[in-house]
Amino acid sequence: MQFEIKLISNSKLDTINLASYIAKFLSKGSLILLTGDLGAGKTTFTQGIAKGLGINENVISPTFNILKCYFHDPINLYHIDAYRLKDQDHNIGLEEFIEGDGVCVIEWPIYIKELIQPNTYLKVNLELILGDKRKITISSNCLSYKNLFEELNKKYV
Amino acid sequence: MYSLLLDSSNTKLAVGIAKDDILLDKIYYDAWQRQSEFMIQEINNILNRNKILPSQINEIIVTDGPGSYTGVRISLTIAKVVGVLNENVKIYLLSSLEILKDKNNLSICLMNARSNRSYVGIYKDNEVILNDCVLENQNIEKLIDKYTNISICGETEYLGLKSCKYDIFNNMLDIKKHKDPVKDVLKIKAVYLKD
Repeated sequence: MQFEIKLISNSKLDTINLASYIAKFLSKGSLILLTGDLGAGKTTFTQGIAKGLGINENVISPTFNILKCYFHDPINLYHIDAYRLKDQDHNIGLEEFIEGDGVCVIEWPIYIKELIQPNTYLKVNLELILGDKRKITISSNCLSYKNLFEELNKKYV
Repeated sequence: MYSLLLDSSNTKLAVGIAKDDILLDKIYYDAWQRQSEFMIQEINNILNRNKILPSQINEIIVTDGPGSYTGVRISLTIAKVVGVLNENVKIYLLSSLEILKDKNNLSICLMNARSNRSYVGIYKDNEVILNDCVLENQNIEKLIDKYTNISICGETEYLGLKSCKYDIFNNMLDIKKHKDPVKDVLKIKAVYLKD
């Protein structure tokens, strides 16, 4: 990856604040891939993104629904959990949200990888350390995130 | 004879009402991915404000794709349900690309299919020049260059192309005249060219 930064989050609130800060650098069509084990904090991270975009609605995991839409001016949030799409037909129109008019967050992107264009996303990996402590690795090949990584380096490293 | 016109195949929500093939009223606005929330209500609104009862609708003219996966299915499902419940209501299925055409000219109708692809159809008068299909965006301009004086129709900003003006409601009424109603309503199915 062209850009990469590793951070430690000590609490759920830390993770929400980080995601909320990152949200300021997102725009229509931004794509975030979230990876990490169950309970690593993917949904918590998405809650932070929502907060940063000014969305007050409660963000819940879309594991059952696959997709949840948060319509909000000026920018919508689309939250996809592809976990249940493992070995399934992927032709259900998700590309309209991935390449859409909002910010799209995808959990378990590995199960819909043919819908994701290379070098178009910000990747966030969450790793459980102990208790509420997480190692968060943020990376991207997208030049448009240069500024984000510079600011993250200033703020956190 | 009243016709209800429905389209939600792309970013717009379109509901129209016509009497004897003359458009009486229309509702048309941006509702990308939200047509399901508003469509039934708008059908109700347009009927009420024109003082038409649901039972007076003789036919539904509806698009069956290609286009937004969910969007196409919203209008189509409404039409199918009405058609199944009341066999006296005729259903006409139209291409969601053809309704974008410039009625007076050879037209290339385009819609964003994502992943650097487009839904494309070419129409002239009531003739199909190129059947609706999916093409790579990089091939679109070459295709346009093949024709002199062709109208570019649709929401083509994503291709950096300027679209001509089109009137989907009058197009729908016009195209319908050359179509037969669906014979078996239960067999109505969305056209999703990516399958």
